[in-house]
Amino acid sequence: MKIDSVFLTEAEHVRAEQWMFGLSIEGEEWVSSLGLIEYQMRFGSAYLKMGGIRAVGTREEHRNKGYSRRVMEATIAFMTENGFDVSMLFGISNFYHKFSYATVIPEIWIDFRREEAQAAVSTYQIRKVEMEDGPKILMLYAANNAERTGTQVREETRWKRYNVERYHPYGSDFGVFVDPYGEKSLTFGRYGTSDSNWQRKGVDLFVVLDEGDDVIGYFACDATEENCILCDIGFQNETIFETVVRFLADRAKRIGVSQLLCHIPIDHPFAIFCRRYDCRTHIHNWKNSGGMMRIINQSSTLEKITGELEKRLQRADYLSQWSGKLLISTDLGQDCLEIDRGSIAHTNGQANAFHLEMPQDKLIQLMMGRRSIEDLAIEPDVSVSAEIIPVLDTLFPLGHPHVWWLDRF
Amino acid sequence: MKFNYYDALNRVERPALSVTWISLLTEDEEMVSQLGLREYQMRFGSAHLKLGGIDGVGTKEEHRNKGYSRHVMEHTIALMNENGYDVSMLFGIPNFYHKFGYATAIPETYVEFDTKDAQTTVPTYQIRKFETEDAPKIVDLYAANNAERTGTPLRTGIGWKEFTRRAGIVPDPYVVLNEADAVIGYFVCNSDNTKIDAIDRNCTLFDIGFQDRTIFETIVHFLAHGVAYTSAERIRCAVPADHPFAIFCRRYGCRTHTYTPKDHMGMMRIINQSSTLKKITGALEKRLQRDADLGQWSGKLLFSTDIGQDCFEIDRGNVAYTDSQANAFHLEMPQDKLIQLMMGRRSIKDLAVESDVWVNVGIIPVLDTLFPLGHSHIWWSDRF
Repeated sequence: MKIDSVFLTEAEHVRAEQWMFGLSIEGEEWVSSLGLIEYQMRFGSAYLKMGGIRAVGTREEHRNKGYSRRVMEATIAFMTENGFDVSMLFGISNFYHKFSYATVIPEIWIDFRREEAQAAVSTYQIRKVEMEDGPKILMLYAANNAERTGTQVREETRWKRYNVERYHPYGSDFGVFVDPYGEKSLTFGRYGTSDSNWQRKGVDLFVVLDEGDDVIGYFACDATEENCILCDIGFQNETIFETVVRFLADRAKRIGVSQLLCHIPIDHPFAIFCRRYDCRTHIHNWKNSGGMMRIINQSSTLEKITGELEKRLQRADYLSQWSGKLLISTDLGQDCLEIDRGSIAHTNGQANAFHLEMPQDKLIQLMMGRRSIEDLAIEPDVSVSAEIIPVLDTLFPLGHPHVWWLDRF
Repeated sequence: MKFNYYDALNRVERPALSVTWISLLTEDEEMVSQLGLREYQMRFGSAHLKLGGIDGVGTKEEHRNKGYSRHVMEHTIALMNENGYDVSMLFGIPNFYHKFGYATAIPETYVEFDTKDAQTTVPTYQIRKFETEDAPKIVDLYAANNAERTGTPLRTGIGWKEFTRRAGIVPDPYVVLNEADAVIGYFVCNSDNTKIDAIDRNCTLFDIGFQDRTIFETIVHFLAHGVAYTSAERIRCAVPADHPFAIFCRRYGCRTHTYTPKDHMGMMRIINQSSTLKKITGALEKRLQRDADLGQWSGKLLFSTDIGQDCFEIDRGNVAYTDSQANAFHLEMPQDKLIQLMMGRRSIKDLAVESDVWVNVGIIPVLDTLFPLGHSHIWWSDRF
């Protein structure tokens, strides 16, 4: 039994450049495998080296033999050796927590009725995306998501290749059945047992143009006639939103559906705009499934986010001059942050530090804004000095992390 | 036609709030249309506003579509204006109350999770049914938990004594006790699930208060295992989306559903703009001073709506109401949009794209800090 890895770059069927890890047994190659994508993920204004795990699978006749566990463990070891800070995956229920991944990304659906949306008036022109729109879309994306934790830093060459030039493979139908109301549990089509005929439908990508034919916004809809779903949006200013809503209303009418669905963060300006249309918001905070993360290298992660944490502290008036040391201890190690009148540095000196102790899967939930320090503090495996709770609350507030569907893997 | 006023202050079944029934009578003394007006203090952050809550709006069937209800509503708004009310709230039917300047301001949120996901919970504390002598402790916990929750009424004044049937909900209240039998929390379930549940077989919690978060697991255990609710497939909690109990429920894989209705349900309007803005200066000052970038900001803000003009003078983070409007930055919008901004339903950036809103671009960051998006709430126990 051995595990091999190979780096893929230009295969038509792959999402992006990626490592593939495969386990071979005697007489049979690659009976269990997964893909690993490297990209930069935002933590506020900081960037972390992310290992995105995808396409985890084991041939049916070889399941329940621990092969997938071996491939996962080898991949985590590879990431540790190769300087990855954190790792993310979109997982089936009750499997990946065994590898210390914890759910951090909520799934959000906003819905409203077509008849409400039809009151919207279109001001701007909309057309399908063209090759030369790539740089402008990336610019709007970067501006809109500059501090959105969880979002991918869209690297121009790669993003254009997979989303503009070649095909638009990922809509919100990426293996997850649309169910804003939570009537059904999260099910994945590809490797789950629920729908073996599942096929990805992809997206239609559009741009919004001003009077001078300049691109001032973009949005993506699932390329399906079963639902009217917006799964990505970017804007220069809020005035484009009414035009987008009108477009969605017309699309919904054309395909004969009465409801519009948007998969966007709950605090996104377009989500706030939709409140005028009698909208409903559904946030799914999955337990041990969906968008999960773990820390790979705790020291490098904490070193890289000091600048962002400093910003957060300095924005809060009464803590902007706070001084003290925070010793963060998890099952991965110990790291100390020294805060000197609002300036934060990673330090080796742990003397006189306030203590925060928790498993790394809880630390990643705190970092990503899924759980607050007050909520974590009541857990039996969490210990925190009571006097630093306000500081930790400011450093790690509850938030709305997001990964746009076009970037999912 | 004439109006009649019936002060129902001492009615036994509604002891907590002062209610005045305003009725329109014909010349032969027949009551054709009426509503109830109740007065209470509502929180705007740490500030308190005099609120007129309207309920029981109705017109006898044979007298409908004659404008009587409009007559009563307009009369009531004038009455509130004369009697020093700051703002008004109602829980309305669709597409009627916007005619009187009311706009939807309060979202409806509930958090739900599957009972099976809460089976592993372990209770730490005792739970028993609420008793009348628990009331003072409930009032204390409620006041502490909701100290800056915009939309919540003060459960004091006349004296809050018990959870009463409101908005059709039949309360089933409990308290949580520590080892010394002291009350350290409370929660209220709905013993008649037919009213606010669209789906059968749910257990609904619609009010909760706590001394600290350690009581939450005991409550979830009770809801998941309690005799009264054993057949429930889901546990549904009507709590604000940012409430600590809502965050706690994330560990059970909860879904948070928020409805932001248009022109119905929890609607509000400003009655007296000047008194409202004067009363909230302290709360706005706190918001400004919490922000390191704007804590020392200075400038004047002139608010112009269809019901008047009011000016704030901000001097290095201190906010004061002023009569002098010279050199002020301008914010112009209808009052129904100003109340949505105040209540955190809409952001200034969202409102600024409207054709009837005008704002100096330079003060948008200041207005964003003064009026952030929020989670205003009115607990079902307090609805009317």
